Amino acid sequence: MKEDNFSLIDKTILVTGATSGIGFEICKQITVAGGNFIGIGRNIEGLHQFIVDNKLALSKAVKFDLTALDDIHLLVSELHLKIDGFVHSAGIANVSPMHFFNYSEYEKIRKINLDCVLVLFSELLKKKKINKKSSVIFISSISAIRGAKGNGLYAITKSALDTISKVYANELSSKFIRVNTLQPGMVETDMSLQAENILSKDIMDIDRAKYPLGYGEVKDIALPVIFLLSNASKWITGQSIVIDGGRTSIL
Amino acid sequence: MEEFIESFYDILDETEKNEINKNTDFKNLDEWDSMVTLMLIAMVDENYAKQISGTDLKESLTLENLFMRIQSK
Ligand SMILES: NC(=O)c1ccc[n+]([C@@H]2O[C@H](COP(=O)([O-])OP(=O)(O)OC[C@H]3O[C@@H](n4cnc5c(N)ncnc54)[C@H](OP(=O)(O)O)[C@@H]3O)[C@@H](O)[C@H]2O)c1
Repeated sequence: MKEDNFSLIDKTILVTGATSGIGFEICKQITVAGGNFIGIGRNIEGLHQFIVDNKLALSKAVKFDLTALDDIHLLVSELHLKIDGFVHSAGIANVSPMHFFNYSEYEKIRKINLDCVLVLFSELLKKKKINKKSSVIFISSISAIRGAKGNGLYAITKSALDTISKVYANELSSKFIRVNTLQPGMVETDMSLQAENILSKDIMDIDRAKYPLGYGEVKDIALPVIFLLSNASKWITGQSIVIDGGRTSIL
Repeated sequence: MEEFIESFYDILDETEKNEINKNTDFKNLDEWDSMVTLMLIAMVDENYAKQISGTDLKESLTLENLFMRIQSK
């Protein structure tokens, strides 16, 4: 049989933020590529239904609140097998200028976007639940590389993900575990809807016009994730890749 | 209402105090821009623990209109 470097057959991928938007689509595309997923989120009904509807015996949905940092070791002990990949897509955003910096808001965003990954990844390594040659992807954002007004706290957490991924890439290179981040521009999901509710449709339309290829769809991020999870990208590590329909490359 | 007007004045830099009262058509102030919009949203969140939306801003002509909408949330 011809070797398919893009397939995820026999691979199990741990996905946070699996219950909505980009993370949910990543789970669907893992299935299409022949792999299995363990999806984490608080509202798992939809993901669970997807598993039942498609008779995915080797995939599962796990209900867990990632702000419970002290319980993450339990989540990892309960993993029944070693994983071949880890995608962190759970994330929240807010819109507030730094003038109104608020520590508890900062802590809330940082816990989900950044801190839970530090704890979770460390637990996966200590309990040896992550195979050699695994691929790890954090969903960052173009907010990490541009100073968008009102996006400060979110930007801090995303740029930290970009930087720490390079440290992981270096530290884990002897196990051939690859670690990269993707930096999406605006993708139509609950998160972009929330931005539209706060900022109004008019402001979003002005923003949308700045995207040469328009706003993205969840697939536009999920398919590159599949590529990064597969052997086809085995020489890519420590990178942050912008996927934004051209938004940051024009004047 | 007085307090709200005072807090709104506080987030501005260029506008004279006598231009700000309950009848001010705030979106037509010279200083009104995307930053003032975000500051106003954040100020209402901090002082009143309420989220105002783009629609709230769009449908409020005066500061008084906006304050009423905040109170009814
Ligand atoms: N959409 C965009 O335009 C855009 C652009 C750039 C980057 N991103 C990034 O892409 C990632 C996915 O965004 P999205 O648009 O798919 O957002 P979304 O539809 O709002 O989904 C967010 C996910 O995070 C999970 N989550 C939030 N709080 C959680 C908690 N306390 N515990 C466990 N899970 C939690 C949610 O699960 P539950 O609610 O089930 O817990 C949900 O699955 C995020 O990191 C975001 O920053 C998005």
